Amino acid sequence: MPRETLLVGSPNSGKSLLFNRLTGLSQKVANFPGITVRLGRGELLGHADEVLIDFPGTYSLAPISGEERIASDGFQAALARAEVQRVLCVVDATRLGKSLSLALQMLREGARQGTDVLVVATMTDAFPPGGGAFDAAGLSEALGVPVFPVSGKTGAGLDTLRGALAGAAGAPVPPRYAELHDEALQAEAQDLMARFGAPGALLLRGQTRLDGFFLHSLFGGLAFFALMAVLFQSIFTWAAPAMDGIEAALAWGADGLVPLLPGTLLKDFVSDALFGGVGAFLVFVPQIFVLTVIVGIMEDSGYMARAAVICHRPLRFFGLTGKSFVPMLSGVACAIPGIYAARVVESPRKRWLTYLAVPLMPCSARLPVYTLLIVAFIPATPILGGLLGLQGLAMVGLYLFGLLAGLVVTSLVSRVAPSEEDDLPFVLEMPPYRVPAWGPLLQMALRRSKDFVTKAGAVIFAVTVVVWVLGYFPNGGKDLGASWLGGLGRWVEPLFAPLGLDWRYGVAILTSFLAREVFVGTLGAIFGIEGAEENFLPLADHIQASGMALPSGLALLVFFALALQCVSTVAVLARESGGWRLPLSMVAAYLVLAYGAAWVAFLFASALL
Amino acid sequence: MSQPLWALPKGQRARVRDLSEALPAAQAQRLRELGFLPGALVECIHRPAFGAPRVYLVAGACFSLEREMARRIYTEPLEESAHAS
Repeated sequence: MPRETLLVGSPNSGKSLLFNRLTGLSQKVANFPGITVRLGRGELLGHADEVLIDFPGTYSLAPISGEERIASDGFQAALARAEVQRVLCVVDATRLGKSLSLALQMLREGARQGTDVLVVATMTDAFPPGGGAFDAAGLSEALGVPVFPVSGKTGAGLDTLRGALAGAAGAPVPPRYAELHDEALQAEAQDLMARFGAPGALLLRGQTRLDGFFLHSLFGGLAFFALMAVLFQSIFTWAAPAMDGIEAALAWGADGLVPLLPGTLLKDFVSDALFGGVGAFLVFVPQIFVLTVIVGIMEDSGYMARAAVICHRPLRFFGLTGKSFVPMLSGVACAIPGIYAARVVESPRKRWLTYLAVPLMPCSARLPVYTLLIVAFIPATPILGGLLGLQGLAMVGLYLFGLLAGLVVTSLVSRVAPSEEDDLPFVLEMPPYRVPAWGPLLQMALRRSKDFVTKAGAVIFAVTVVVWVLGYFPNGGKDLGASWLGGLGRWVEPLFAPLGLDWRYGVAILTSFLAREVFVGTLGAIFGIEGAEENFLPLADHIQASGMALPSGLALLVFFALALQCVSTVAVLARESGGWRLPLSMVAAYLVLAYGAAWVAFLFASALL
Repeated sequence: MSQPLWALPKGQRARVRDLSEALPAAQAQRLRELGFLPGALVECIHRPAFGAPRVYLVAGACFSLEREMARRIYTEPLEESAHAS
């Protein structure tokens, strides 16, 4: 039975980086308080029988929020496990003040439960070489437990720590901690801080200068908008070569492989369902990768916390808090991590309002649909002297539309449904700025892209096969309109006729309620059957040839911007909000909203164009 | 004579005197755990306009506090700040 060590520490103490260093496991290092809400688990490098369990960062075992209660309860539950023999408590040597309360609470738990506690002091590299080094031995003597000075950045001290973890469990906690009261604990923390804390504030000068810019009322706001613009433009420009490459490889593969296959049925299946359906969705993986990397850089660098401060006042107007910014921005990548990230919002009401906003954020699953329709309908005209394209601008517009929709919903709901609950005020640590840990960041982006391909890909493959079978039979793909799919399509057509959409799009919309990107796969399979004699063609060309008018395209975009078409989001919402009521009401309400708004957009566009 | 932390001008330091009774117990405890203990030195580092949360340095770490919180922390101005260069 492997021996387990619990890794605990306050947010921004370098705990996640230490976990990565000790286990070599790719776990995300986020430079924002409380972002690691799920537990990490990893084996100590070179010692498979020593397991490290990474806990979410917390300032205290006395919780003030739902997130902290989860962490605190989880800690107590884990401590009760027989396998758990040690607690490894991370303190930030440069900012002992905020770490020591938790460390002393850990010693108290250790003394009461008979669990060993080791202390790791991180960021020791920030102390100036020569004079004034961190006094680990002194702190160890004062605490009565071993203290290991390490630097996650330079790797100093890590071998010693690894050796100690692989060796004997260490000495038990002095029994005096078991009786320590909260006030005495605070006094002791203050005393230790005075004796062993960094002289003056290390790291602070650079941080203060940068904050003077990023938190500035004018420049900070401008920097915020500039960074957001870079984010959205880069999704297009940086991912474009990879997307073109995948598209070309697919066309080459289809043209080369399909003629070699025996039998018309197999040829048609591979060409229509595999290359047409699944392939159409693979093209969008580079965009998801780029987006994840950029959002990760913002988290790791420490900018996310500044953005939360910048956004606090404006978001408060819409009934939210600055902390809602993180879940909302994560929601731009994917609503699922966004909903998990909403745990950083301590106030239950603000968290509930954040849940309402997150699924309206323009998530990466909408990206394939947006890209497809933009490429089909918007010309690639350069504007602003080539700095931005018309297509990029359309994408920015769609993103702003989703964001605005979320804010309008939360501000209306927060005003219509007032609450008597006391809100938790905004307190947020400003972590030091730092260079992101590129290895874990890229690994995470790769993992998320892979997840997207394997999890969403499995659904898309299944749906595509079903759609293809329904569309191909009973007449062997000769006449799509007379197929089973055509019959089903005509049955749902009246629903979508007011938006000027024919039955093919109706079927694709129906399947997209599993996951939005299925829309692309379904259309790919449908057009694949229709254009069976042609070579592999990009889907946007098929759409242009299908005779869909611009107003219908706009209606589709509006519909996809607002509707909650994602089974996984609904499931996660149900788990996080503690019931099905919220997610199911949201699906219904956003469906009505999406259909209504799409209809209005269609009428307006038809009248104007 | 005490004044709320929110009133502290940028770049000035003060000593925490106590926390408002109006603060819920859990929030007061959290503030103490973060370092806002009676006797602790705090400095206002950033004071953005438009009532945005302000940034305070305490015990070597920076925290951004909004008005509702910062005006419930009572401070007394430092004697030394009068003749500090």
